[in-house]
Amino acid sequence: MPKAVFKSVQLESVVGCAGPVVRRLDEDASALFADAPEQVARIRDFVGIQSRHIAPAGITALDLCEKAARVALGGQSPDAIVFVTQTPDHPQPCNANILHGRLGLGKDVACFDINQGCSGWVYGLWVACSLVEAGGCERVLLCAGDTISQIIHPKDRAVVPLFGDAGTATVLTRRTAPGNPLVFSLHSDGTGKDAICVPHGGARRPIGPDSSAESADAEGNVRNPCSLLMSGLEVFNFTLREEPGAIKSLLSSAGLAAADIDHLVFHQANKFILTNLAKRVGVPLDKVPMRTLAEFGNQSSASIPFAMAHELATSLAQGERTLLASGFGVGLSWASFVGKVGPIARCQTVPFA
Amino acid sequence: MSSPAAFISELESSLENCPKGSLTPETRFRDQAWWDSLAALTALAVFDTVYGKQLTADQLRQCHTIGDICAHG
Repeated sequence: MPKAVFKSVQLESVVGCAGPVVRRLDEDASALFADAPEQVARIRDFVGIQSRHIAPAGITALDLCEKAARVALGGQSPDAIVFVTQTPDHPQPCNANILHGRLGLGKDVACFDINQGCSGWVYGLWVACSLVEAGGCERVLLCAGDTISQIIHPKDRAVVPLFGDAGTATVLTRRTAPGNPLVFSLHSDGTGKDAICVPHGGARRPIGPDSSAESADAEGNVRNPCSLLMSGLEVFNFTLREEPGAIKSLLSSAGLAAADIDHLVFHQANKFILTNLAKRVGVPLDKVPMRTLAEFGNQSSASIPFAMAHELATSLAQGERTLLASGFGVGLSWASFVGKVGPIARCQTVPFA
Repeated sequence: MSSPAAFISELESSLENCPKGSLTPETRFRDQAWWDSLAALTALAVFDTVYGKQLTADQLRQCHTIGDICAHG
């Protein structure tokens, strides 16, 4: 298990931009659960999502991240762009290079994408910190964004009400003097690759005549091989199995206790999972942001920084806070970091339009 | 080792729409009006809490009664 400690990095900006179209749960539900209207209240109470902000066709994670990046950079040029997404504009070239061109940056900028989902922002932050501490970078732009709603089959009741779209931009800079450390731990279990998967559209299974063939599972959820498949039961078990131990181990490595945490920012998966995790880690729910989930839906790689920019903006702008962030999902993959963060100069959300 | 009674008690208190006192080891949970994918998640969480280990999704799919679930405990 890689554990890493960085002492020379600070967060300068965390900016989020959500998809511009708001879908209320009752709108989704009227189409999906016409035969079971009581399900609307069940989903709202259990999953904790009341609405989603999505990006219509033609607006991508790159567009949302560009909007956030222009604010996050504050007119400064980065030495590197790291772009975390599983919904890039193209298989080639990568989003980071396209964004580099859009921002009109000079040629001395390193650009690459990272293909990770719900753990991706923490993975990206770990890489970005490495670039500052050992890669010769003074300023790194980390973008994390996805438009998962665009790869979901509209008749898949298991996932349609869950996913929102968003882009985020985080800017890291080198501290003038070493400060409190950021401590990371990163984990993987590739044997769980099928729990969250888009089967077709890559080199293993290129899009072909069978890619649009619809099929229904035992619960009546319809999808095709190009749409997102998520086994909720497998993912739930994975999360409960791996996350509490990983977080406790990270806290121990950092010499911290659960009581030291000011903000415990989980990937905004669903209320039931987050409530269970918080209880097992021993952190009270008032330290666990969940309004982002309720208002914007599960934003995949963007959800942690978006929750910071949306729910914790005032706190993180005002001063130093002990923050633990943890993402978990597709891969299977899970990653966490803990450390003192703030004051963050630009911590905010921006509208797309 | 925890008993089926502990699992049933915890499950009933965790499921808002399950009538309290209605579950027995013989209850065929898939036939109940309250059983759905969210109830399945709840059952996994309760199993983990009561027995201190996980019931896999495949194991749950093979279960028909509450007693079948508890047999994995």
